[in-house]
Amino acid sequence: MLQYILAGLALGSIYAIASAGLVITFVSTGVLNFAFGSMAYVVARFYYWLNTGHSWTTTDAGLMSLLVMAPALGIILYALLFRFVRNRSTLVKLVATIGLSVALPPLADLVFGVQTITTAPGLALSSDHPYHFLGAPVTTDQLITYGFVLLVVVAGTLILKLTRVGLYVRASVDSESMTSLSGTSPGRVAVGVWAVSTMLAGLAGILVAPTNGLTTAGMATLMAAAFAAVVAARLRSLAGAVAVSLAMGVVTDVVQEYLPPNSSFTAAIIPSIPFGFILIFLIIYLLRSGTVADEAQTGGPLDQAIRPANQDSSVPGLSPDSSTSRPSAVLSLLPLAVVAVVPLIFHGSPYWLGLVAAGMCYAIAFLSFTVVTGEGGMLWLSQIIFAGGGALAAAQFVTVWHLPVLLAIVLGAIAMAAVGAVIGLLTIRLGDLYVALVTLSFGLLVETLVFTLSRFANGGIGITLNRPAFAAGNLAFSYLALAVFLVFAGLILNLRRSTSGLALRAVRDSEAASRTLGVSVVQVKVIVGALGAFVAAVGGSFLALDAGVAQPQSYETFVGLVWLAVVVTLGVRSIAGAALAGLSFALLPGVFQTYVPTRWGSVPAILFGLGAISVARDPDGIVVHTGRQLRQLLMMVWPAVHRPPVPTTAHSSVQKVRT
Amino acid sequence: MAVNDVEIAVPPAELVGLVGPNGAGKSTLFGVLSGLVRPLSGSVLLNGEDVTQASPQLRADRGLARTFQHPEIFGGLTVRQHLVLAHRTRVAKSRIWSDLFTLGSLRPTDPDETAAVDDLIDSLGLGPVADRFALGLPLGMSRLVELGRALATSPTVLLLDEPSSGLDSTETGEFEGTLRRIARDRGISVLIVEHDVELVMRLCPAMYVLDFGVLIAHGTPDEIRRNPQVRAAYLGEEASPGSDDGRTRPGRTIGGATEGDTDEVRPPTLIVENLCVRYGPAVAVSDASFSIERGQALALLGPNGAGKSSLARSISGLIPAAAGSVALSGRDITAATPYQIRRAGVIHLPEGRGVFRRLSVIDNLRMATAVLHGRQARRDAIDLAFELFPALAERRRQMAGDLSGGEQQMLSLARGLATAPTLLIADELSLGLAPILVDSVFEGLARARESGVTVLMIEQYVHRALAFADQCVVLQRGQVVWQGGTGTMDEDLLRHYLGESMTAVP
Repeated sequence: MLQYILAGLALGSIYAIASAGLVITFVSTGVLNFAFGSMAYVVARFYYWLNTGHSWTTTDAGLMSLLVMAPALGIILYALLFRFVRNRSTLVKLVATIGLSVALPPLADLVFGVQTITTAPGLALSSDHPYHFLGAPVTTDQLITYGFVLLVVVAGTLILKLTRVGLYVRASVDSESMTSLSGTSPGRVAVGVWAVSTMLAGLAGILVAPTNGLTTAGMATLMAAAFAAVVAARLRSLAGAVAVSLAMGVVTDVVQEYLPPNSSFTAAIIPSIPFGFILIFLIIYLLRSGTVADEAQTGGPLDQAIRPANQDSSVPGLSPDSSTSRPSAVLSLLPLAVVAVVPLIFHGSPYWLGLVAAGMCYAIAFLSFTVVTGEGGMLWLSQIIFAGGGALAAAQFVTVWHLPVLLAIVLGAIAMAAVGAVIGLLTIRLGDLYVALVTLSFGLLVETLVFTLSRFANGGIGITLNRPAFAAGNLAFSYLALAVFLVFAGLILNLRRSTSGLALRAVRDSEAASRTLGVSVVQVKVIVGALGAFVAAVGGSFLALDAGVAQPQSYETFVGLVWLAVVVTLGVRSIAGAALAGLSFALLPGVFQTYVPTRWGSVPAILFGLGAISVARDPDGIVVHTGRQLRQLLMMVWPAVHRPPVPTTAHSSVQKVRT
Repeated sequence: MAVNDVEIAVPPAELVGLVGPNGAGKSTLFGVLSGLVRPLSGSVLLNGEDVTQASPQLRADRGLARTFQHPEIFGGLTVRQHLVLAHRTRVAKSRIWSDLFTLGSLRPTDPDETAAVDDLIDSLGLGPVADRFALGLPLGMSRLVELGRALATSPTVLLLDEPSSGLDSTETGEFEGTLRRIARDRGISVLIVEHDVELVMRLCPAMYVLDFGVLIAHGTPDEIRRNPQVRAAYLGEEASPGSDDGRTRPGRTIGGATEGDTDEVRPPTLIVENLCVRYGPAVAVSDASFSIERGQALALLGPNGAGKSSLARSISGLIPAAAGSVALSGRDITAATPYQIRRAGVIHLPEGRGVFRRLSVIDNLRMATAVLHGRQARRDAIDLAFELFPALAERRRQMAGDLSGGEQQMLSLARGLATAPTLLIADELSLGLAPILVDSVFEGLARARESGVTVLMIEQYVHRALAFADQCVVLQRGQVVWQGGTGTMDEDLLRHYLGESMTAVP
């Protein structure tokens, strides 16, 4: 028993270090850092490179990684990205950090070399023997971990409470504007916070590498667990996050004593413990106050009073899409027309035609982001799980009930729509960020509990799902996928232009005004959640059709984050954006594989990541942005085509439409 | 507690006004009426029905509509779509979800709906912008859109929250006319919350006055004008008549003129030229110019919402100036950041308890003295603060947010006085303080000035401010309408610029 507690404390300590790093950047800069796992990976990878690759001693490599490289990384990332996302919407913050998390690991691999690392060294010497504490073995790695969490907690508390730097940090958490009125630059405080947070990420990464593995997936698991602690601490309490982390670690290891070892049940229960923690704490909070808001709007009354003057209005979706005027409607059809001829262009080459077919399927799945996030304004990170769920369900219907494949897909999608409606109903009272975190952990939970069932996984090879006979060839299949895409595009257009769409946009723009107008938020959000899940499930099934097999591991939650990043980069409010996102997501890697040396094979991932980061500068995405530029060009060439009506008031000169 | 034991009745088809100084609880009361805020006790009756427990949606269904102080428009909808959606929530509510399955976008529009919406657009003069997206509309237009959206739900009761704030006088005039016409034509009961007392008095036959969450008067405009309590709330009648403004009491010098008191010609401490301040589309200050000589005090006066605080925030760098320039002792600081401006010697004590609420008293002072160089200088400054305000020394370990309002203002003032600034901007330091505390605020400011600190004050106690300051600037709707020495300011001028209700003398 004691042995399990000691091991659990070590695990909890690593969670605690990670969640502390997440909380301090959230409270002082308002950014919940989804790139935390990747930052941990980069630092840990650097440590491994020094320690194993260049034979530095553990101490030297550790000091170099944690005290020099990690802070430098934090400062660089602040300068390049984090300082731009400060006053952005939650969606933009999220997508920018997701983009960073996608781009960082391949960048690190480019520098340090791609390598499968089987055993990562910890901070202990490999030759040492475990100590014994009351009869229970304690490894040096565990002791070092305890030491570090103590150091982080004690030093952190002392620095925050007693030093001037700590005072500045506490002050800027309390009120940014008051801090700057006191002569302290909040920007400089933020740089320091990011440097420290990156150090904590690196420390957690190095410590967790021996057990979780030095892989992005291992780091993502660490981050997911830390998110659970952060949610339980209501995103703001440092002490709470540390305490919950420790408890989570201990529970994880103690439970193992009572579970049958090496059973699939145990393998499913252990990773779901963080989700259990999220669920319990959210239920407690909901029961107590009826709602859980983000409190992302930090600061005191002064900060709130001056916010409208300093905040730019570029919240995604706020800048209107001018689909009402004729020339731009034609323009917005242009990309779709291009997409429609793409399969014909690649008709001659089976390889490229195959990629195009896959791209069309991605496009369908990506439309679900257009529905849920673009139209509904909800930050759902579990769309890929609906896609996977749809595909797995369809495969079951076909193999067990021998239904025709298209009918099976529709049935699977209906099942997913029901799940989506339930999720929508459950998250109705949560703030944006909580919705994102809850759907993320829902995804991870389904991934570990459901997708691993042998009925679906079938020993890792998945269940066969054959295309319908009339669309067996890639060309026909591409057009079948395109047809489905167009049907959903029509549905979305109907949604956008009907009363439902008006109500959705109203709710997204101002919830208070919508409620006092009598528009029910609940109905609309539940419908959109269901519709989004339906679209995702059909898209996922088509991806399975394309591959010929429904394989659970093609639908991992963290891959879903990449999907979101790609869609937002190209325009989450634009149907054409989803189509282009799908095609480029499938074709770009192909281009790199074919024409570029394998060493550069990871460049597409980096490009997608950097694209998402660029969203911090222009939240509307590339398609809308380019469309605007095209329109401007058109207006210059032919001014009579499109002249927006101008208000005829004395103040019309004052306002300036964002271009 | 923001609002306590308030009783207001709005008769059918009548305009009723609700006025009160900043922070009186007006907007909170609106939140309670529209269902966004739950009251602790009491009840709300709508057309005779108890709706205290009803959701905002339900109240909207029963005929309640409102606007917001900061317009809550739907940026992604066109002006016409605002009205269409509002109309349908009343007439065809189920379309919000049924349209999804019945291809609602292809359904021909209902002629009755089009007629009703067109009628509203015409009567509000929104025609030219009807098909424009509401994002980026000028503030006056946004308010009309909100009004139109509220009217499109065919309400029986309409709540208007600060409909004229941020509008210039022409726009206010137009809005007033529109409102009058609509109330008359449609027979809607209207409750208006306004800081512009004169506007309410012109519009409403009956009005209520709220102060610190409590109703202090109600009646016809004439009755309100004569009510002594109302005048006290607005004008801040000298609470202890005859008390000196505290200049006589000598204290330890606060410094400020430490860099050598030579007689050479210096530029004025502060020169503001053609300064414009904007919150998005709303113009807060336009074209303000004035200057303050070194060691002088300037009182910035004007009714609520005139742009005084915005002007102060722009000087200290919190809000970037939209146009114009600010110079401190001859140095241009227009584009500087707030912390650079603080280091240059400007300390801004913002309105409404300018303290770090979640830091202790001593930490607040440590933050304030962080600009000083040297440990000893910082320690001396904190000692000075405690010497000036011994009450704070007793509470040094308490969270500033747990202090009483008066103590928080003390702390704010201590922040300003302890560090020997060149220019001190005091925004409504005496707001909501007991008379005796108001005395000590003025005393503190007097000490600062004696030691050479230049003072820019925004004050609700007009007469005390005038007695204290050397110069006076009067703002009205963001514009400087009068400036000069305080000696030349007389009652007539005051009444003219600040309005009858604020300045009437018994």
